[in-house]
Amino acid sequence: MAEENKNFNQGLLPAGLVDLLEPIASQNDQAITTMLNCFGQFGYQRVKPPLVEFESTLLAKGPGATTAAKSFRLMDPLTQDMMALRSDMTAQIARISGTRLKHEPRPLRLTYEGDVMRVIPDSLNSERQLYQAGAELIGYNDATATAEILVMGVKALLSVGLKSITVDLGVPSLAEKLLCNLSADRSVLAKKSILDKDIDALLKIDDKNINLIVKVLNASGSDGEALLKLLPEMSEDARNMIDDMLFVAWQLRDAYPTLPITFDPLEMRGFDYHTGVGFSIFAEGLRGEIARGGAYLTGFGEPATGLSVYMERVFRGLPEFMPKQYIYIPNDIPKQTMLKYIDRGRCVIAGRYKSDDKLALEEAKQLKCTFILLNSISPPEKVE
Amino acid sequence: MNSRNDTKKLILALPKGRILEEAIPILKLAGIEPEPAFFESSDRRLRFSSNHHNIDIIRIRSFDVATFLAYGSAHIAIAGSDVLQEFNHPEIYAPIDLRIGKCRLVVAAKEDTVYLHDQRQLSYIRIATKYPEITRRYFAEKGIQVDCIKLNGAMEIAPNLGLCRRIVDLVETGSTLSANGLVEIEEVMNVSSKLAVNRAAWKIYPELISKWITKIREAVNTNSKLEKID
Repeated sequence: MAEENKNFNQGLLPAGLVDLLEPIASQNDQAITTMLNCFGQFGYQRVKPPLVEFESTLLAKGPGATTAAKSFRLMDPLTQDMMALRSDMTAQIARISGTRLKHEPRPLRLTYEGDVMRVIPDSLNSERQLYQAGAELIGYNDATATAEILVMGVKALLSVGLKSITVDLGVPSLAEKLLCNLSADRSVLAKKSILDKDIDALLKIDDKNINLIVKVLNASGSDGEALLKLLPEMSEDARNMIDDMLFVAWQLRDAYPTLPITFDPLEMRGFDYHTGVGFSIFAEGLRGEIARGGAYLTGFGEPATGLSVYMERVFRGLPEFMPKQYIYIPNDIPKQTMLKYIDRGRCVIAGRYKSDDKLALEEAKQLKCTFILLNSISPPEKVE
Repeated sequence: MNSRNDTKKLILALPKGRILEEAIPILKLAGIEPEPAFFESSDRRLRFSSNHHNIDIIRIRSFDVATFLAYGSAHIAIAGSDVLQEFNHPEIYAPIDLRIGKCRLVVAAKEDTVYLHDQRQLSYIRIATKYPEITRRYFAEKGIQVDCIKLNGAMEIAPNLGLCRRIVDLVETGSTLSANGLVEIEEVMNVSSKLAVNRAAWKIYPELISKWITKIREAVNTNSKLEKID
C-alpha cells in the first residue's frame, strides 16, 4: 500500500471528475448566468436546494424514483439515516413546491442551477459531476404550459449563442396507449420495435392495432399535416395527445417561424416519468439532446411542466470566448488609479515592478496583458 | 431547414470483414457505391468518398461501428445486431433488418463437461466471450452471476486450455465449435445485420436520413427477392 501511495499522482482525480480552468470556467459561468437571467425574465423565481437530502425524500416516487440507480449514497453520522447526493434536481424542485411553497398560488414558476453527481456517467459524456440548469412550472401540465416553457428554453439556448437548434416533439405515453390492446408478449416485442423504429419488425406482429402504430411512425418527421390526417383513426385519448403536441408546435412556430421542428409522437427514449407532451432540443454538431422537458406529475401528485438543460453538452457548443483584456499596473502607480479602472469595468493585473523598470514591460507580456499603464495621467499604452 | 438537409455530409460506417461483402450489393441497389479505392486492400486510407458528394464512407472494425455511431461521428451504419445489443446504446436506432450476416450467438462448452455440470443449477460461472454485456444480461435473467473473460478472438480454444468451461460466441455452421471439441448448450440470440442510425442525426436531418432509410429498405426487399431466385 505504501509503495502504491508513493507512485500516486497528486493531479489524479476520480474517474469522471475534472478541474475547469480559464477560459472554460469563465465561459461556462457566463452561459449559466445568461440562461438563468433569461428564465428570470420570464418570471421564474430562483431556488437553491441542498446538494444532499434524505434518500427517502430525494428518491421518492415521481421524478426522483427514476434517478435512484444513478445516485451516490452516504450515511448521515448524526442520525444514521441514509442520504443521497442529487443526480437530478427536478425532484428537489418538486419537493420545495409541495412543502415550503405549497401555500403559494399556482402556477408557481421556479428556476434552478447546480451541480449533480452521477454514479455512472451517461452514455455520451464521461463526466460524473454534471451541471444542470432548468425551470419548472408547477400547477399545470397542459399544452399551454409546455409551450411556455419550451419557447423559454429555446430563447435561453439561443441567448447563450447556440446555433442550428432543432426541437423534437413527442408524446412519451402515447406508445403505451396504442399498445394497451396487445397481448403482453406482443406488446414487449412491439415496444422494442418502436424504440428501434423498425417498421418491418412491427408489421410482422399479427395484430390489428399494429397498423395505426406503423402509420404514426411513417408520419413522423417534420410534417405535422401527416399526423393530422391520422387523427380520425385514433381513440379520443390518443387524439387529444396529438392535438396537444400540434398545439405546442403551433405556439413554437409562432415564436420562432424558421426554427426546425420534428414530430416523433412515439419517442420514448429518455422520458421516464413524463405524462403529456415531451420535447427534446438538439443542436447541430452537439452529441445527443441538449435539453429535454415536458409534462409530468410531481411526487406530491401535482401537475407540473419542466425543462432540464444538460449544461455539459451546451458548453461544447458555446461560441468562442473573448479573452479578457488586462491592463498591467506597475506597483508605483497609486492604488486609487487602479481602482478607477476597476470602477470603469476594466480588468487589471497588479505588477511586481515599477513603471520605469524594464522588467515591467517584460512581465506585462508574460502575463498576457494587452495594455500597460506607465503613469497616472496618460491612458494605458498597448503592449506590443 | 431544407438547406441544412441538402448540404449535410453524411458519414456511413461499414464494418470490415464478413458483413461487408454481403452489404455492398444492398448499398448498390440503394444507389450508394464507394469509390473504387475502397475495395483495394493496399489503400491505407480509412475514409472514402462515394458516388454521392454528400456521403462519405468509413471502414472500421465491427465493434467500433457502434461507438462511432453512438457519438455521432458516423450518422448511419451497418452493424450486426450482436454488436448493437452489446452496446445497447440509447443514441442508436436500428430501423432496418438487412437480412444479411445471419448467425447465432450461443453458449458452448466442452463436450465432456456438459453433462458434469448442469448449468441451470449454478449460481456462478466463468465465461470467455467477446460479448461481456450480452452475456451478463443473459445469465442475470437466469439468476446466474457471470465472471466474463473478455477475449477478442479464438474463443474456442479457451475451454480446452482450462481458461474457463464455457464460452459465448457467434456460430454460423458450428464447424469451428466441433473442430475444437465444443458443443452448443443454449442459444443466446439470433444475429443479423441492421441499418443503424444516430439519434441526433435523425432528428436534425430528418428529410435526408428518411430518404436513405426508404431507399435502403426498398433495396433490402429487392435483395431478398434476388437471393430467393438464386
